Amino acid sequence: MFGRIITIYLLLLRVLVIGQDTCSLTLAGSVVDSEGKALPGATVLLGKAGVISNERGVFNITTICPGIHRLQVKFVGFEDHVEEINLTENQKVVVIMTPSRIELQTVDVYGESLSTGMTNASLMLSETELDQLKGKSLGESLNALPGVTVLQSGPAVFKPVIHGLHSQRILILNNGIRQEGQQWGIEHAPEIDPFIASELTVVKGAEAVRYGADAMGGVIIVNPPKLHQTQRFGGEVNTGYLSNNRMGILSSAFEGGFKNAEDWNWRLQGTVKKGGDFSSPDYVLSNTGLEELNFSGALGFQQHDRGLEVYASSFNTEIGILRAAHTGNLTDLENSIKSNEPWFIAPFTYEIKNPKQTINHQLLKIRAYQNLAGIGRLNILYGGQFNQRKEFDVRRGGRNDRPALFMKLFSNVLDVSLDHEHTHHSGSLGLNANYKYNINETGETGIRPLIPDYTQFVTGIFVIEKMRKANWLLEAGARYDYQYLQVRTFTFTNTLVKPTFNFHYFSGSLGATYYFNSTIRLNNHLGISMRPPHISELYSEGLHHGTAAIEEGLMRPGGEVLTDQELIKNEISGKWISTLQVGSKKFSADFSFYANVIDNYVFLSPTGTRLTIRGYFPVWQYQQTNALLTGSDALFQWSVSQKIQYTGKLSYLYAKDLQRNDVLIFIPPINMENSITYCTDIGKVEDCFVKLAVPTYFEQHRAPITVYPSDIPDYTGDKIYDIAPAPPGYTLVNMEVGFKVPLKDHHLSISVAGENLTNKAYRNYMNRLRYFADDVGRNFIVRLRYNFHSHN
Amino acid sequence: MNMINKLMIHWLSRFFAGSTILAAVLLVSCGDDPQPANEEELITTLTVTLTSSGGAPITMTFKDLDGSGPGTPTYTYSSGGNEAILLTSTTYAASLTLLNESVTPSENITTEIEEEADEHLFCFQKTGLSGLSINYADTEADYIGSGVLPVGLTTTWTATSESSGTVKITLRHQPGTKNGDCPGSGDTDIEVTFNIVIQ
Repeated sequence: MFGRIITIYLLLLRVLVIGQDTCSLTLAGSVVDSEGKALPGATVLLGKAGVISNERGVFNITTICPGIHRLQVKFVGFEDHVEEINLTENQKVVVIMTPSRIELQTVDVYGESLSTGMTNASLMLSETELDQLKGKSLGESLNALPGVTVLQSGPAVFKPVIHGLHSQRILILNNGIRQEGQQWGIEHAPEIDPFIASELTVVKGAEAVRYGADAMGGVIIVNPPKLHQTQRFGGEVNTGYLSNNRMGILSSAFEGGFKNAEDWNWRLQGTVKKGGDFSSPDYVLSNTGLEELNFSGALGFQQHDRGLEVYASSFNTEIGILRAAHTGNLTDLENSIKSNEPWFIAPFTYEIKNPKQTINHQLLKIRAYQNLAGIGRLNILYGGQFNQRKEFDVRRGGRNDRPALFMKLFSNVLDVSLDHEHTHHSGSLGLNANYKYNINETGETGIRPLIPDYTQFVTGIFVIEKMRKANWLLEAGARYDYQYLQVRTFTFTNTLVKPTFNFHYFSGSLGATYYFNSTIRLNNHLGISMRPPHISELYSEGLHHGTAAIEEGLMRPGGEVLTDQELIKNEISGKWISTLQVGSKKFSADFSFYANVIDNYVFLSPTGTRLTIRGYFPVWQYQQTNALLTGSDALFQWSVSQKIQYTGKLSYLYAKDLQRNDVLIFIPPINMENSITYCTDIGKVEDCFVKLAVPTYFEQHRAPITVYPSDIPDYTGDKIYDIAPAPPGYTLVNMEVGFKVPLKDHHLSISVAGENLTNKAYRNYMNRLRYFADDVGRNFIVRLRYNFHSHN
Repeated sequence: MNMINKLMIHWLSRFFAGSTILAAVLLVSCGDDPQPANEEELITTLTVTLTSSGGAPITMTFKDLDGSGPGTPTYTYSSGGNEAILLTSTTYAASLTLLNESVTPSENITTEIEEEADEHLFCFQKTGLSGLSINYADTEADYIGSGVLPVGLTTTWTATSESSGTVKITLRHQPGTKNGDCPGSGDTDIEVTFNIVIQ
């Protein structure tokens, strides 16, 4: 059965690679305003094929048949541009848009421009940038954006952090559906295959109004390419190899339509990865291998005024955790930290042993929309997700095959929204409902669960309005949520307690963008949001082997089980973000400043130690305080000449516990990256580039005080501490060479990248591996990509 | 190709198993109360028994019934005081007993250690006890038929002169890396310190 699937897969590949056709023309172009400034995000339609111009206003439509076509370009604030194009060969066009008197009328086609606040600060990874990140995990890819960092638990577990916030304070939208995994744990990475994405966008301001409380710190939007209305077979095959952990990657996507049903289209996509142990410059990071198998399928129906899309995806992974990072008690932890090398180093292997994680995440999405004459567009979105997480420890008595943590989370999301577009204003009115059910398989683990079973039901309503007046774009929104939560937990004498809670909370936003001229604009966005503490912050209870610490929720002080809702305060966050964007042909810049004040900020604080049969353990309890996170991100791009481009990125974040006059833990230090790219075409070899990038991480000087594990039993202070000092800063050297060669009627893209070329031994403050081992050493990545009949 | 094939089978089977569970969760879900975890792997009690040719056996016990929970552990010495009292010029045969008393009936963890004798090692670390020497009295072969490395479930304690201090007993779990060194590699399953007086 499975052999047959593979045979079919390979046959399909051969047919598609060999397949010839006459409709192979390409129309490339750029969309600019009358002063030549690029217009990113413009909708470009050629017949039924549609694409969106990228951040440089550039678009590419391929596999066009020769003949006369109608080219239509739409962009907010400009008149529709329509022209007839007679295509006989590949052609390049420049579309100059005329400003519109009646503005905001033409935002449509996909309604995507409404998905985030236009006045909010967002950054997108372009297709070129994504190509250079193929093979990386989602979190690692996002790290390329200034203001986004990652919290790592070893070389394969990356958790995105936006402006110092992560986990339940940021939201990930996977193809329009909020990702519902076990995101509360800092060693839990998002369960998403980045190969599905043609666009990765990060919204850095609060978007709680549209998406609810967990978007208070920002939103990560993972979008697959649109299903193109085409009859043609299309697709791409990506392969990659990473030298450091000898990882092989194969990912492909195919798409097409149906002969007798012109409005229907489909896409199938799959990724397989297998890698062994990573290596630092001096030793193997034993038991850091991973394997992954992901697949997804989409089926869409689209007509002028209505559409339907069904999408299903499956993400499955097994990830090894560095053997030396698993500790039995404080003495073990002390020895691991003080030793220069991990205590367990074995020769390279692909084998993954305990400790490890296995995660399966299944998603089903159904989206439908209908344009209602005179009212607007009605969108209905349903998402069902099933997340299963197993964590395996090193156990005694032949229990290594039994997970130490085994959770199943089932969730249902329903979003209904009505978008409207009028002459001077546009907006959206919506309703969200979210039902979640989490169970622990304690029968299988034989260990008290870290977070209890629970049932959660959240409903919210929101309204957002935008208007454009002269040089201003104004936006305002408001939201109300109700949450019902039932927890099923046990006391230490194994009595079942089932407290229930009812939370009511609000959020609001105000935004204004001022256009100084066609090349400079200033975005301002203020988001106020409230968030009831997450189940993990309320009822966590147990020993964490990675940190050798006992964690207790807000409602489990000293092991007691509290049930009084009066004891819980909602987090209240106010985030203001201001972004100055400059975009001219030679120079572009994106500079943002933000300040985020969070009242009742939930954090882990040391509250003492506890003696057990394994010796003393520190007890960390969730508490609430007032926090400030403020900082700035900058991105500069300068086209020195037609062939040479310089890019600079810089992020700075200052975080403080205002109430306790203390620092916050795991706040990214100042980091920057300087890079120079040289591009040229050599004969038939196109898009040839050489890129040199030099990322620099400074030391975190505002790290918590250091209390080594052996000193913890005697520590009586209440300041948060870290078990090792912040590592010194470092600079790496990365290089990449890439080009495209014609193959058949299409292109084969080849690139070779070298990371950490000087093989520097370093430790990153944001990587929990730093307690035990150096980070990953030199790594070469080879990528091949063949694109056939791709539509954008 | 074979590798990919195997991987596909591996994950596809998981996917279908997952889907079945999903359907089951959908149908059954909501309503059933969870059962408390049966923590059969927990070690709650460590007892050291010292026997000599003359006199009653000396015992010292550490007991913590709730694992990482908030309950305060207790030390019990057969002397009735806060330390074990050994006599000078006496040789004691020491044996260790491990129990899980959080479950009923209580479980004997000593046998678990015996069955995995090649993965476990007890370490004995003295502080201030100049008049005491502790030597291993067993090897892996005593429990699993082969292996020359010590385990430490039985040891010989030789008290020579008057002194007082502590003995820290550590159980090291060293699957695949045990070489007889203390503390050596691996994880700690037990770390308990007893007070000892030699008079």
